[in-house]
Amino acid sequence: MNETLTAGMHVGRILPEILVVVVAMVAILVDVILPRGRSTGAVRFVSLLGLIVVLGASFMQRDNLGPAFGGMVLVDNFTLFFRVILTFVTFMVIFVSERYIELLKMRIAEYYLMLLFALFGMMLMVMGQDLLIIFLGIETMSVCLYTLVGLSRHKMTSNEGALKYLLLGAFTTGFFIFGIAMLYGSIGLTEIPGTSQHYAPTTRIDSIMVFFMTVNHVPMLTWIGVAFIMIAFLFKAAIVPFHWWSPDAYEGAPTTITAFMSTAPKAAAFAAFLRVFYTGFGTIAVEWTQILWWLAVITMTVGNLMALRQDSVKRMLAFSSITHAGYLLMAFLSFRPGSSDMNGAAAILFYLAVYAIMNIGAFVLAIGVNKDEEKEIGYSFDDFKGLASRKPLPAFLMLIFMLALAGIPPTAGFFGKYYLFRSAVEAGYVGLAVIGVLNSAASVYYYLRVVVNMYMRKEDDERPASLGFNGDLIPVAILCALLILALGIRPGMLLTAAQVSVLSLM
Amino acid sequence: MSLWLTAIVFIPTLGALLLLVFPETQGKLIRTVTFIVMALDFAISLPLFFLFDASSPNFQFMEVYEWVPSLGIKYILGVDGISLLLVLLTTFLGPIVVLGSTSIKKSLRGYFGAMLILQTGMLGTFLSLDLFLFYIFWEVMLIPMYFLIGVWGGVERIYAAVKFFIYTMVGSLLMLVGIIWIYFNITIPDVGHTFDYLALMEHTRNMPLPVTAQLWLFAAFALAFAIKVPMFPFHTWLPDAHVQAPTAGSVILAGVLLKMGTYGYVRFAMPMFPEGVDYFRPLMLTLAVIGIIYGAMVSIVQVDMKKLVAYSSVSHLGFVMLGLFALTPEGVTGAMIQMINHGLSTGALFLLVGVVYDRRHTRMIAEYGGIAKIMPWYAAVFMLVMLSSVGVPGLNGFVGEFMILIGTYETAPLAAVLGASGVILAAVYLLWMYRRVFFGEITNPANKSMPDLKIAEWASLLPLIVFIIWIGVYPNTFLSKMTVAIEHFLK
Repeated sequence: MNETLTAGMHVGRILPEILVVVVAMVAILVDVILPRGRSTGAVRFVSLLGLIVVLGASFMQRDNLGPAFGGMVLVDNFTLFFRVILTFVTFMVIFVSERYIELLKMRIAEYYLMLLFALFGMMLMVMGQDLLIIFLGIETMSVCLYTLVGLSRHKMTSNEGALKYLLLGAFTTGFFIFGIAMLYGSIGLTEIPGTSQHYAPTTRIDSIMVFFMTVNHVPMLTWIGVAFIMIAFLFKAAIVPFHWWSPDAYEGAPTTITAFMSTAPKAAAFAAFLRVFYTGFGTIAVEWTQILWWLAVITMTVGNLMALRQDSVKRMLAFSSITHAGYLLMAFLSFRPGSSDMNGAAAILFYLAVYAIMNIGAFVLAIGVNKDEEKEIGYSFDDFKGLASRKPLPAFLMLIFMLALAGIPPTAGFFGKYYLFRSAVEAGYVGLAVIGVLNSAASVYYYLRVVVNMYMRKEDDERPASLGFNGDLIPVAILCALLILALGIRPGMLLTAAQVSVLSLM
Repeated sequence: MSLWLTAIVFIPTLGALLLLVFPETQGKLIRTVTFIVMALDFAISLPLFFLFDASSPNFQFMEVYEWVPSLGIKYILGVDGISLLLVLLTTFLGPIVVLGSTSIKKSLRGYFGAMLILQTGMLGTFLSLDLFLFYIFWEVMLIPMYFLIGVWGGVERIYAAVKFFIYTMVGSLLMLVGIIWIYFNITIPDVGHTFDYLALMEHTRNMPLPVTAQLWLFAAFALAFAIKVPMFPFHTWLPDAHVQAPTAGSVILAGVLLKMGTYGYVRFAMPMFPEGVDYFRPLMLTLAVIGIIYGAMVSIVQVDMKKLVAYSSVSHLGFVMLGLFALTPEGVTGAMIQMINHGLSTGALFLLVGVVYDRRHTRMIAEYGGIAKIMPWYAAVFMLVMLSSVGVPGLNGFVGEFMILIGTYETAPLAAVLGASGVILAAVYLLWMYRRVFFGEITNPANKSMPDLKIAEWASLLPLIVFIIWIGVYPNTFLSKMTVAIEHFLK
């Protein structure tokens, strides 16, 4: 432990994170220098270029692993995996945003800056080796997201979503920091077995792990601390019954931000959740499985039931993202302390990556199809009617994403879901897997609704789409679709990456 | 290791990609190319029949490749006496359904593309010997069929397509859980966990799974397959799908897709979980008999010809299930040959219904009457096919049903007796329909101008007729290919 404390900065290891901040700073300067209203294009360009550099830096530093920043963060394969996904998602979202924010009359450079800072926050979350760093990451990300959700100021839903998200988010913050405090305090109160010495109070994950491994009797206060921290994570991952903020925030946010929020922050939240619980609280894992079993069931089912009755594709995707969080939780349960089998965690990583790709693709196409951008919600299922004859390519791409989200081969969505179910069965949760597949079958209905409208119905509303497909939406959608098909047929590479990454958690 | 089977499976997919080259306006060219691809696939698969060694119960022309090694998934294809004829039936029906699609005018490229991909899915399902790969093909099949019904179907097509999709999906996902469970609960020395069907079979023969596990697994697999067959009471998607599907879709559905279910029983559910077969056999026999009688009774009262043929499928597939669960050589052989027969006869019946539908755009029996006078050749062909479906000696249907009933009588006499009534009922609903459509006075003047069979229609029907008679007169050509495999199966 002392080695890591004196481990020093190791700037190279955290270079990508530093670069993200630098890019954001440069973007601010660009915004200040150029005349107001015309700077966003340049800011977008700088951001995209910067993110490519960040990806390049991550690639260059891929073998330079270990603790950094005085041991406060840990750069391991797990960090690398999420660093790439998060940067990729942010890149995609920034790429498709320019014309969309112009349409929404919120063409301000802060839009991009907030995304970059949110990325930085998420990166801290996945690499944090100390609960306080993770806390800082969550807060950095959340503050940016509160702003982004409320960015379409003239829409009531946007304001409402942002306020709800902010208020409930503040509660989460309270839970998290209170949990850390109780953990910190209770560890310091506990004696080291066989001696009369006390443990040094700590918030470091590796020290907490050592504490749980050696202590015979975990004090009540520690339990409460662990529970509070868990609640905070469940909140950020939008697990029922802590999901109330998400439909409103997702619905009110500009759709590019909805795409972002349902993928990257969710991935970051699950990453931090995995790291804290698998590594830090690993030895007491058995204690929380019962609760998580029920939460997984409720989350899948509630998300599905709500998604079934939506008339807006945007809301449908928002609710279905809750369902997908339920599937992920199912695999989360499969952890067994001391076991060398980390397939559950690997399945989560694989699915988070695949889910990010297919969900971004689906949202991007929905943006291009939507006819009611000026309305509060819009994104009616009806907008998709007759799309296949009007615009065959976007319709076909949407078909791929819908099949992938429904988990039908030969898409990566199927493979990801299979891997999740597999780890649940492997851990002995056959009943949970059965509930999962039944939910999955029910979800087919609302994903197919989009397909039915695109291919089997005629357009009955002749208005043109608000944004349409000119420009930057299609390239992103094509890239996502190709990735989804390629990973569906040859999942090997991403699978290996996920399996290697989770070894760092042990 | 050759790539013969892989070629058979994926040539249609390549054909589908090839279609993208042609512009949507070149309808005729697209149809021709699809026909050539289908015919080529049939031509390539045909030598299987002659080179197949019928004296060996083993899988032949095996192809084994690693696919996702870290999860124990392999790409294994192989053919044995049980799948051989089904593969050939599939490739044989391919060009025929293209010929039977002349009435399709809307987005031809998508239509034929879906049909080609469906072909890949079906062939892959029959040839896969890795449980995971099997599942992939099984699911892939759903998408093109869903589109064939939903885009090119009748008025209620969307309802039918979604129903078809979700019914099948529920069953197959539960089977997926079963497959995963098998993977984790069977450890083969030196291999570990695997989806490899042959390795799993080899292992479970020496070390059977616990009885309760077998019962659950059989239930999971049997449900997926029962929905596909479809067995009573899971058959409700079938009439909807059949009636709404375009003619070619119905032919494939009846000809091949339904056989997936019965094939699933023979290949997976029954040999892998013998305890499950023992336990559920009375139930399966009961459901089969109910299916036979219920399907036939409902057929009698149908006013729509296509719906009548659709319900008759429920009845005929009931015979197949009866034969399989008789667990005697005659019964199983009869069931196997009946799968082929049903593909030929019911496929032909759907084509024939399509013929008058193209001319009059109605399938209501009451709209017709006396058309034997206007379309004598059509009436003759219809008569032959109908009699084969009824099970008249000398035609294929008789061979299958007779063997099934004999085989069933040995082990389950009551089921055989009750099932035999299905043959009589089949005569009732088919002959009665035939009389109302073809005989009597020409009551509807709209029918007077209907032309007799055209060349394309002859071309799609004649090959079917040849085999209908061939199997009826000399079934041994085909039975000989499966005898050894069935003996092996019954062990």
